[in-house]
This record gives sequence, C-alpha cells and structure tokens, in this order.
Amino acid sequence: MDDRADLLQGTLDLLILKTLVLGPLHGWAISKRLRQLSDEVLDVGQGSLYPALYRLEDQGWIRAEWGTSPEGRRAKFYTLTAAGRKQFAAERSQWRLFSTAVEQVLKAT
Amino acid sequence: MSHWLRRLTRRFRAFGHREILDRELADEVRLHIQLEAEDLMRTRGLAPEEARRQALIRFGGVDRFTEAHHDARGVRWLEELLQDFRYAVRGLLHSPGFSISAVSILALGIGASTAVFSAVNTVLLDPNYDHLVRIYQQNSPTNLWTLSTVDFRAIEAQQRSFSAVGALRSGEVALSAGGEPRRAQSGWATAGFFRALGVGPVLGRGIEPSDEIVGAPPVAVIGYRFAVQAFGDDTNAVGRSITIDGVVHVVIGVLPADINELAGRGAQIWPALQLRRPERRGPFGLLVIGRLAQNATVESAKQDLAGLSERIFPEWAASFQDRSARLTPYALRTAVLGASGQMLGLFSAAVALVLLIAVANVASLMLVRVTGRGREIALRTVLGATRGRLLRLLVTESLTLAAVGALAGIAVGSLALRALVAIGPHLPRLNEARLDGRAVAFAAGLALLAGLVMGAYPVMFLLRRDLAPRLREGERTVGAGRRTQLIRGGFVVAEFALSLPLLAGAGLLLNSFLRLSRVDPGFDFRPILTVRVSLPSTRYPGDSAISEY
Repeated sequence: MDDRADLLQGTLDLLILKTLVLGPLHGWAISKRLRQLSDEVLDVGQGSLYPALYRLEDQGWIRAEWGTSPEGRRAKFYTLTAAGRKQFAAERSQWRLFSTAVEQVLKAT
Repeated sequence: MSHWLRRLTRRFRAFGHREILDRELADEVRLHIQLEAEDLMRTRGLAPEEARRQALIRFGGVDRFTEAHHDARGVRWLEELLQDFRYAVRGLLHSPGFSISAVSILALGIGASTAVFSAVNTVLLDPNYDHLVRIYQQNSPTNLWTLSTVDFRAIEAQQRSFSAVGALRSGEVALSAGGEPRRAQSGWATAGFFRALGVGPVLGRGIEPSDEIVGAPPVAVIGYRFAVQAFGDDTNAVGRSITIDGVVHVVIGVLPADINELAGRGAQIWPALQLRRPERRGPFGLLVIGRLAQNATVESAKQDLAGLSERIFPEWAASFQDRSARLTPYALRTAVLGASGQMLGLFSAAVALVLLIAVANVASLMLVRVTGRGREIALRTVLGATRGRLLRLLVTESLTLAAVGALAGIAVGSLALRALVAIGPHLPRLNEARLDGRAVAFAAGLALLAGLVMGAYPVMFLLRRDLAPRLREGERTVGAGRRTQLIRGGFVVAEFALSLPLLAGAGLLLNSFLRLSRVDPGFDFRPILTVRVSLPSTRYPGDSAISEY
C-alpha cells in the first residue's frame, strides 16, 4: 500500500472526469482505468470513489444509468454531461497551473 | 435556481427512497467486488476464494463505505433527526409516568389557551367592527344615552365623517305568522343601518330608503331562524305576511343564517323603521351607528359631531334644556362588548398564567429527569457527543412531548371552548367561536415555543457543570449518588415553590372573573316572578286602555 500515492484533496473529481471523457464507464471500470493509466500508483479507495460519483452526479457533471456491461452484467454506467465537460476543462487548467507552480517551488535551490 | 431545485429534490429522494438507493448501491458494490475478483484471478492466477477475499480487502469496510456514501447524499442531518426522534419516543415510552403527567399538564395549558384564543379571536378581534362607531349623547364621562329622531335626521343631513349612518329601535312585540301570536324581539332599522354594517339579505331585497317614508307599505326583513320556524323553509318566506303588534308587514328578505344580532342587539325580525316628523326633541331610544368614511377617524368624527350638536341643540332648547350634552361617537367594538370584553381579556390573562405554569412545571420535570440521566449524558459527552448534539437530543425529546401535548390540547381546547360558550358571559358571536385553522396554528406555535423552552432549560443547567466528577460518581455508585438525590429533591421543592404563587395568581384571577359575572343585585330575587306582556298600541291606544288591561 505504501508505494501508492494518496490522492490530493479535490484531484479525485478531476481524475474521474478524465476517465469518463472517452466514454461511459461503470464504477469498477473507472477504478481499473485509473490504476492502469497511473501504472498502479493511484489506487482510488473505493470508500471514496462511490461517494465521489454520487457527488459529481449531484453537481450535474455526470449522469448515471443502468445498462449491461461488456461482460454481460447489469451495471450502473456513468456518462459525462456537457456541464461536466466544461468542469473538466476548467479543473484541468487549474490543476496544471497548480502543479507547475508546486514543481517550480520544489526545483528552486 | 433550477440547479438548486434539482439538488433539493435529489436530497428528498435520497431520504425518501433510502432503501432503493441503498439497494442500488449494494448492487453496484457487489458487481465491483465480483469484477475485481475475476480480474485478480486472471492477472495473478488466484483461486476464486482467495481472489474474492483480496477484492474485499481492497474495497475496505463496506459499512464505513455506506456511511461515507450517506454523507455524500447530504441527508445525514435528516437521518440523525429521525434517529433522535426515535430515541426520544423510546425514552418517553420507557418512563410512562413522566410522559403522561407532562403531556396532560401541557394538554391542559395548551388546550385552555387555544380555547380562549378562539373566543378572543372571534369576539374581540371580529373584523366586522372595524371602522364602525356608535353615536351616543353624552353630558358627563359616565352618562351616555340614546338619540332621538331630531338627532338622527340632523346627523343624516349634516355629517361629513361617515359613508353611511343608520338607526335602530329595538323592542318586544307580539309577532304572528298566521298562527298564535308570540313574544319576539324586533329591531326596526333604517336602510342606512344595514348599509353601514355591510349586512344584506341572502334572499329577497333589503330595506330601501323608500320603505322608511311614513305611510309606505310596512315591510320587514326577517332572521333565518324565524323564517324556518314560521314558514318551514327560508326559500318561501319572501312575499308572505307577518303580523307585528297587529300591523300586517310583508316579508321582503331573509338574513344569512349566522346573523342573529346586529350591532349587539338580537332580534328575530327587522322591520323598516318609519320615523315621524318630530315636534319636539324627544323621545330618545334610537341606536345610531355610522361607518367611518375613508379618511375619517373616531377623533375627527367626534369634532364633526360636536360642531353639529352646537348647531342643532339650541334650535330645540324649548323641549330639552341640557346645554352640555354632545353627540359623541365610540368605537362600536367597545360599545357592544363593554365590560364583557374586559372580562374576556381578564380571562385570557388568567389562562396565559395557567399556560406559563404548565410550561414551568414540565420544564422542571424535564430538569429532574435529565438530572437523573446525568451519568448517561456525561458518558455521551465523554464519547464525543458535542453540546449541540446533546441539546438537539433533549430538545427533540421535549418537542415530541409538546407535539403530543398540543394534539391532546386541541381536543381539550375544543371541550373547553364549548364549556366557555355554555357558562361564559353573553357576548355577541361567542357561540360562533370554533377551533379553526388559526386556533390550530396557535396551538402548534405554543407547542413549538413550549418544547424549545422545556428542552433548552435543563440543558443550560447541565452544560454549566463539569461532567467528569459526575461520571466518576456514576462509576463508583450504581444509580444516583446521595448528593445528586439531594440536588434533585431540591429542584422538586424549588419547582413547587415557584409554581405555587403562579397558581395562586391564576386562581385569584379566575375567582375575580367569576365574582364579576355574579354581582349581588342587593336583594333576594328568588321568590319574585316577573311577567311581561306586550300590548299592541293599535288595539290598546292610550294609557287608559293599557291600565284597563
């Protein structure tokens, strides 16, 4: 567990939105994709994934629908809404600003 | 805006459909764990059992997860409220003695207040009295009397303060509608009288100015109750004849069923008042009322009428010598309700005291109860309950009590109101007082207030103390320690000491109320029987004929 990074407050929303940009996914697939994309560094605690999904739905950034997964199972799929797309773009640029700034501070000698 | 609305409906859905949401969530979680296990089997070649175990470990505690999810739904406070409510109900059921006494005390207090509120609301705050005045003649602060034809005609012709004025002469008559004549109250009224009051017949027409001319065919508006008694049905009363003191009148209209009195005078029939041209200042006997015009006040009307008095009275000085008398308007509400209205006010004060005592009593009972639960509360505090949370717990309990008290109180109030109508003083419209929506809202408001006071009062006591020694004491001795018992006993004594003067005050107020309504007339009236006979002036003209009878 120690080799996995703790998620910074607020970044989880951004990451979830990112995984959904390419298309609808269900909960497990979201966590799987996050792990794959981050080379197993980012492991979203499931205790925070689903509440986060609910929160995002509450904000109107994603939409949930029951459907059938590629494995042929009934699953709840999350889709990015138009508002969610806008939110993602905003959060991404904010994150970039933030991470560059942090990096710059750390590089200073 | 719509965003907020959507979120709000989602919140309520989250609360209302909690089970569905939880089931959906459980489905989602089950699928997640299943897929994770299969993934582990594929990638690491684990046995199914082991894969499932690993998947569960990775997922973390399911219960904790559900909690977190509930938090995200934003309904935690609502769930806590429900939890508090259940806890309160359980606690109250656990000590039925306390609950029953608290609820009965509250029911009495709230019930009595609600009943009196309804009475006051109907009688004292009757909006029908707004903008209406009664005009008296007055020559000293306490000497008021009625008006004569001269006065009324002068007011009609010269006043500038009223949009309508009218006169009423009431008296007892022999009334028959074809059958045996019987005694009845009659109120001869002018057209302006009805117009000023804003009252009109539901059937037929009202009295017109042309009906007031001496010599016009006699007509009468009749009350609903008399219409039903005499003609069986109000619908076929119009056009029928009734005989009033030997004079045949034609019925032209029927008043609404709920009107039995006008300007505080009760009557079954309301014939048109025909005033003969006056030859002297008297006789008096007219009740004159006026509806204030748009920008007129009682004060401005008083000046208007004073000026009018100074112009008129000298003209008739030959038949009336009192130079100090003035026509003076008084608010009709005061004129009609008079001392009885004051009595009702007094009664409200008494009942307010009773309510205060009730709340104080229950608050003290709560305090005693909470002190008894000191250890439980200390434990809760030590375990991390915040003061706000404790306050909420206790206030929820007292609000629950108050709500039950209010429900019982409304039942008590309805009985009390009936009793008040039956034994109370005769007041216009008192028998129309009902426990309506306003009364229920009043009771609910009282309950809310009482609940908050009763819940917060013990907590304030409790929070001031250091809780740690209490906990230690609780650990050492099972149940309440000797000191605690002493303190609790002291509270009970203090409670009685506080409520006794209040109770005495309320009792004295009630007593003076009853005395007021039963003033000794100064002689023993029990063996005296009075008989009143109305002699129609048409058949018994002059004093000699009457004394012969």
